[in-house]
Parts: sequence; structure tokens; C-alpha cells
Amino acid sequence: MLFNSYAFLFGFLPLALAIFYGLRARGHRAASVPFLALASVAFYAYWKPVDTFILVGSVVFNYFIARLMSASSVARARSLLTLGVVADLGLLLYFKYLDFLLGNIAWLAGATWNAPRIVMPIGISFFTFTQIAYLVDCYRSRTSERDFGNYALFVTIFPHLIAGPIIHHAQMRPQFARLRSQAIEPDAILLGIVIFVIGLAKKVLLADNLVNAADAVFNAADHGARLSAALAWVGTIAYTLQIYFDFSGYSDMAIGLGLLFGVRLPLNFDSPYRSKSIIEFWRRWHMTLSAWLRDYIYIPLGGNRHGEFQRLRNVFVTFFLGGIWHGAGWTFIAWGALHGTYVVINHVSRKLRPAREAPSAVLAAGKQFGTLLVVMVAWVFFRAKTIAGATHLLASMALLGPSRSTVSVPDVSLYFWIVLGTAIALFAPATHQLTRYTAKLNEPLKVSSEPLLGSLARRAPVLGASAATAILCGCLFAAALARIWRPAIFNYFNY
Amino acid sequence: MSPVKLETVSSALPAEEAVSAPRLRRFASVLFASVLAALVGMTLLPHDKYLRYQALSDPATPRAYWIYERIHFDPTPIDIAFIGTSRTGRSINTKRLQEDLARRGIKAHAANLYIYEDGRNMHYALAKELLEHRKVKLLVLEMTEWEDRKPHRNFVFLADPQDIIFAPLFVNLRYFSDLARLPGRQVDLFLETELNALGLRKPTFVPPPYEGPNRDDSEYIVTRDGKKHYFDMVRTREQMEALRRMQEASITPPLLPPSLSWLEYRLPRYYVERILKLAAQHGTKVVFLYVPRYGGPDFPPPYRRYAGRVPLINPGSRVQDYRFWDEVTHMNWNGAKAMTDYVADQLAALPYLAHGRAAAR
Repeated sequence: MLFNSYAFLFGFLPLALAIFYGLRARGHRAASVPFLALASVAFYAYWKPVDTFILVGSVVFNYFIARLMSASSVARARSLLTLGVVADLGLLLYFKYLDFLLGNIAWLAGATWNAPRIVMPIGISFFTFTQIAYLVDCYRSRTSERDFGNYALFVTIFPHLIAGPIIHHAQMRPQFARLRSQAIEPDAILLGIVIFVIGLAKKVLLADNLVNAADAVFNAADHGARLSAALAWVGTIAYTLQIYFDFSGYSDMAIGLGLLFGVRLPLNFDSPYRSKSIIEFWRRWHMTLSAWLRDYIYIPLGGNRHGEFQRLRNVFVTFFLGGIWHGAGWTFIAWGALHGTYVVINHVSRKLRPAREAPSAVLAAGKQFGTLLVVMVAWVFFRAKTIAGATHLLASMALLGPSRSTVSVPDVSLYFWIVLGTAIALFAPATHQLTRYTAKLNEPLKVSSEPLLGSLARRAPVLGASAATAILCGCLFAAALARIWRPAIFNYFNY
Repeated sequence: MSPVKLETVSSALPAEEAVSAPRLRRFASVLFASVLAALVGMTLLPHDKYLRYQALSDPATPRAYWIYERIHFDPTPIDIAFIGTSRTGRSINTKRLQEDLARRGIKAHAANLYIYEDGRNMHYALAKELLEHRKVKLLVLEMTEWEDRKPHRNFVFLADPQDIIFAPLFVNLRYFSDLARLPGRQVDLFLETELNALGLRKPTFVPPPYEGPNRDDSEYIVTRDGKKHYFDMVRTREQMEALRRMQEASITPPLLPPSLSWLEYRLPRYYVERILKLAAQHGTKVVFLYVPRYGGPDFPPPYRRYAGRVPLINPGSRVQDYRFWDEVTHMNWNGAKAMTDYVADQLAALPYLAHGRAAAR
């Protein structure tokens, strides 16, 4: 079920909220936690009921592995960890990469490969990574979740289940404990509504209005159609904005939904296109994946503990694997390798020429532009279906293509959405800044009571409990509802 | 009971005081009112109805645009209008029907305004558009061996806003879906209309040049790629029987006992009554045309409700020859010719086209 579908907005969500708060209002706070887990499994089952067995099987398996680890010697725990991680990766390998691997082996052997039509269960990358992290954390701390309901909810909680943010058990456990014993603060619910609406608007009003142009240009590139430089740039810019608003919109919706159920989920985006270096970009883009890759790949590989060369090698390998995580295809590998190379170059250049403390505005703008440019080049590989399609598009962008195109963008309104999207991506505050949301459990949620117009006049807009915020959110929600009468899918569901 | 704060007391911050439950309710009320006001505003946006009919562009064989063109742009009279599903589309050739009638001394113009898929509400939307804009002598409404419980899935594309908003709510599986989609449709069509006026619209579907007053799809259809697909295939009896068995296995029998059929089939019956009422208001006669499936009953059970009120043209077993069928629910060109000729015979016998007979003399 898509968050931007009528089935979700008018069916699943109101029903889940009604039962969840109904239970709590009748004093069954503890029961609301397993209910949320059940509702999350039902949410997942809506896509393809048979895949629910894979999800539930994976949850049960990892739960017992962790339980066994917490009661085992170091050596046995290590064996169990290996077993758990291998099984998790094996599941991922089978569903996500087997076709690709066997296809390439067959190609190398000069044979033909008839793909066995393995359909990947939705969200498998996310729930697998979440559980691998959990197993590693359990191994390190030698503790594990005793309550199966808590564990099941931790993995399956529906706002994050399909496309993240990737969460850690340590973040969720105290929140589930509070859910069982304490009331949910109205601040969380109000912020949840506001953040969800912002995310819905990002996805539906911005990303979905850019998708046709991006699709038209990239599909044309993949088919070798003639593309002018202008059109190639328009398509690339459209996709750059589309993927940002699509994924950050989804993440906002996830955070908003989490809050509606009294759970704070981690931030996933922090205005990444404002980054002035590629290293900064990766601190702002898909932040929970970056942290996961750092904690569970980069550091175990040795991190920066064995000298500069090893560090750079580890950085590259981490990004390379990050690329593979996104999909089974050479374009994703190229994307990961490209970002690995960017980050390595960034580290080397920092070593050679340490950054000035206060760079000029022109230099800062130049850095931002340069960062965005290389990110866009990498997005071409990420979006194209083939390496040939990507290079064809890049050649057109570099003025090496024809002067006229055989395709055109679907609608002139696209330019409006590009200008608006660019302005928002580059100049507007991030959702958490607008709402003062924090995922840190030791910091209170600060819902502003300041009038929206007052905060706008101060050039520090904040969306809080004011009537103007409610009206703005109401209009955005209505506009999003109007836009989804012909719904589109989320990009990151594919990864 | 006052809510327990998750963390430290946030009221220490002057402009960031804790939200009370009443304040949350006020916020939610204002938000809800804003959503409602915005949706109502969107629903009231005007648009060019011709673009609305173009929006229902079936990927393979769009035809709603032609229906609109035939009703609004073509001055050729519409004496006989057929409204139904693709069964009617594949079994009635209006050009042949006109020739048949002419041979019997009746000069009448016919138009086949069928639309793909089942759903009586769609037939109502088409009948309304037709009867409110054209003087029609005879409306021939498709009847099959069953009543479809469900509304047409594309009703929201063609229907007027008031017909979506005030559609029967009870036992209407698509009511809320259609209602929720209406503001979006209105906004899209409004923008399309405005962009069109400014010369900036880039449509995904462009109607071809007008295809004439008799756009029949019984001999062949032309798909969007410009290819003609003829319905001249004749299957063997064994093939048709196998197809019949498969189709019959897929039929959902009545879900409720006969005493509750009024409930289960409330929606199609409601819309048939509305069509009959509308026709009466415009002085248009209505007849039902039974378009059976291969192997279907000789008499349509749903007709019993209307017997004595509305005549029925029933080909009975005359079209059950396996050589008349392309597949179980659609005739081939041989079947369409047989069906059309039979319908012409029956129409000629009805008194409704008497004026046409006089004119032909």
C-alpha cells in the first residue's frame, strides 16, 4: 500500500489510528504495541500476501538467532552471528542479485541465461539491513530483545518497513517501552500531521510532476534516441529533483506517521543539495544508510585504523557496496564506484589542501555547484537502465550529441516544477528545520505556537500549532489528494 | 488524565509550549476545514468537456472522444442510439443497420455509443450527455444475461461532477474512490483547458480527424498504432465450447439469496431506472437489446423487472451458432451481420420509427 494512495489515506491509516488510540484510551496501552506490529504486517501483506511469509520468517529467524547469541559464549555467538548474517545476505542475494549474477556468469561463458523470474519482496533490502545491524549490535553488546512483539514491531513498524529510514533497536526499544506505559504527547501527533503532509506534498506535488520528463529523457537515452544537450540537461535536472523529493518526501511521511503512533524515527535528509563537498553530501543524503554503511561496513573493514591508503580503500569499497545495495545492475555499480571515487578524491584533496575556515561566498557557491554537478553525473548512471544509455546521455550533456532531439519533454509545466523544485531544494529549510523536529529522545519536541506569518517576517519560517500552519497543511493535503487520482509509485521501493 | 510528556518539560520554551489536547483538536479542525474548502473549490473549477471525453483514452482503442464528437459536432441526426458495452460494439454495425432499415423504407441514422467494460452508471452518463444535447427517437440499451453489481471503473472520467457527488452511496463499491478522485480530475481538466486556450497544452492523446457518423467496431477496430484488426476469425465448435466452459467457471454467482437481490443489484437497477426516466423526460423511446454470450440463456433473466414497461429485442438462439463468435462474449463479423440484420427487422416492426418511414417515402 502506497502512503500516497486512497487505500492508505482513507482506509488503512484511519483504521489503524482508531484501533491504536481506541486501545490506549481503554487502558490497553501495552496491547497497542503488538497491535501496531500486526497492523504493520497487514500493511506489508497488502502488496503481495505471499511475501509476508518471507518477512515473518526473517523476523522469527533473526529473533531466535539473537536470543541464542545473548545466551552463548563468545565463540558460539560469533558462529551464530555468522550464520545469521550469511542467511540474511543469502536471502537478499537470492531475491535481489541471483538473476544478475547468473546472467553475467552466463554472458562470460558465452551461454544464454533464461532468468528464472525471481520477484523481489518489497522492502527486503531495508528489513534485511535493519536485522543485520541488530544481530551485530547484539553480538557486540551481548544483549537482545526478549519481547518478540517489541522485536517484530522494531523490524516491521510500517512507516519505515518499505523504504526506511533504517532504524536501530537501541533507538526503538525505549520508545516501545514508553508506548506501553505512557500517553502519547499531543505535540508528537501535531508534528506528525505537519511532517506527513509536507512529505506527501513533496512526493505528490513535486516528485510526481517531474517524473514524466525524467522518464521521457532517460528512456530515450536508453533507446539511443537523439538528445540535444538542453534536453539531456532538463532530463537530468528533473531526475535529480525527482529522486530527492520522492525519497525525502517518503522519509518525511515515515517520520510523520511514526509520530502519529508516538514513535520518533531518525532523520534521513538534511538539504543534501546544499552540500559544499561530496563528503558533506553523504552526511545529508540518506543519512541512515550512510550511518549503516559506516558502522557495519567501513568500520569493520578497518576504517581509518591502518593508514591513509587503507582508509581510502575502505571508503571506496564501502561506497561500491552501497551502490550494489541499491540494485543488481552495472549502472548501480557504476554509481557506487563513482561516489566512492568522488569521496576518495575529496579526502585526498582535503589532505593536500585543508579547507579555509571562512571561504568566500563565491568559493562556497562554486563548491556547492561543483558538488551538485558531480552528484547529477552520478544520478545519470543511477537512473539509466544501461551503461550505454547513461554514457549516451552524458555525451549529450557534454555537447557531444546532436543539436536537435527526436523526443521532447511531455509538458511545458515541467519548467515551472523544475524552477520551484530547485528553489526549494537549494534555498528552503529542511522539514526538520521547518518543524523543529528532533529524533533525539533526550530532546523535547518543540512545537512552535508562533504565528506562521510572524516567523516568515523574521525569515525563520516555522510550522507549528498556528492556524495558518493548519490552513497551509490543509491546502497542501487537498492539493496532494487531487494529484493522486492517477497515482505513481515511490522510487525507493525498488531498492 | 493529562498526557505524560515523553521527555523534559518543553513549556520552559516561551514560543514552544506544549500542545494541549484541545489545541490539537482545534488544529485538526482547522486543517480538516481547509482540506474540505480546498477540495470543494477544486471541484467547482470549470473545464472543456470535450477534453474530459479525450481523457478517457483507452490505451488500445480510445473512442469516448468520438462519442462526444458525434453528439456535439456532427449535425447528422441520431435517430437510434445504442448504449452498452463492447458486446454491443461488436454485435451492431450501424451502417449496415441503416441500410437494412432503408430497404424496409425507414430512413434513420444510428450511432453506436458503446463504451468498453460493464457498469450501468457509465450508460447513464452517456445517455444523459446524449439526451440533453440531441433529439433521439429511440435509445437501444444493452441487456445481458446478468446484471453487473459494480459501477464502471471509468465513471469518474466521464460523469458530470454532480452525478459523482450525488451517486447512490449505498452498495456502491466505487463511490468514495470516485468522490476522492473528482477534485483531481477537475484540476487536471481545468489546467488542460487553460493550457489549451494558451496554446501550451501537450496532450498525451490527440483525437484523429473525425471518423464520421458511424464509427463501428464490429467488422474491425483500428488501434492507436493505426493497425486494422479484423474480426473475421471463425473458431471450431470445440474451441468455442472450451472457451464457454472457462468463461462460465469465472462467473461470480449471486452473492446474496434471491430475496436480497434488490440489495445486491441495487446499483444497476437504480441507473436503469434513471435512464428510463431521463428518456421519458426527453420524449425518447427505450428498448432493451439482449446481447447474449456464446452459450448464454435464450432469455435474459434481468429483463423480467422491465417486462411490460420496456420492449425487448431478443435474438434468442439465432446468434448461438459457434461460427458467429470471436470469443465467448464478443461476436465476429459474421455474428455482427446476423445480429444487426435481426435487430433491423425488429426495429422496423416497432412503431417508434414511423416518422422515418414516412420521410423515406
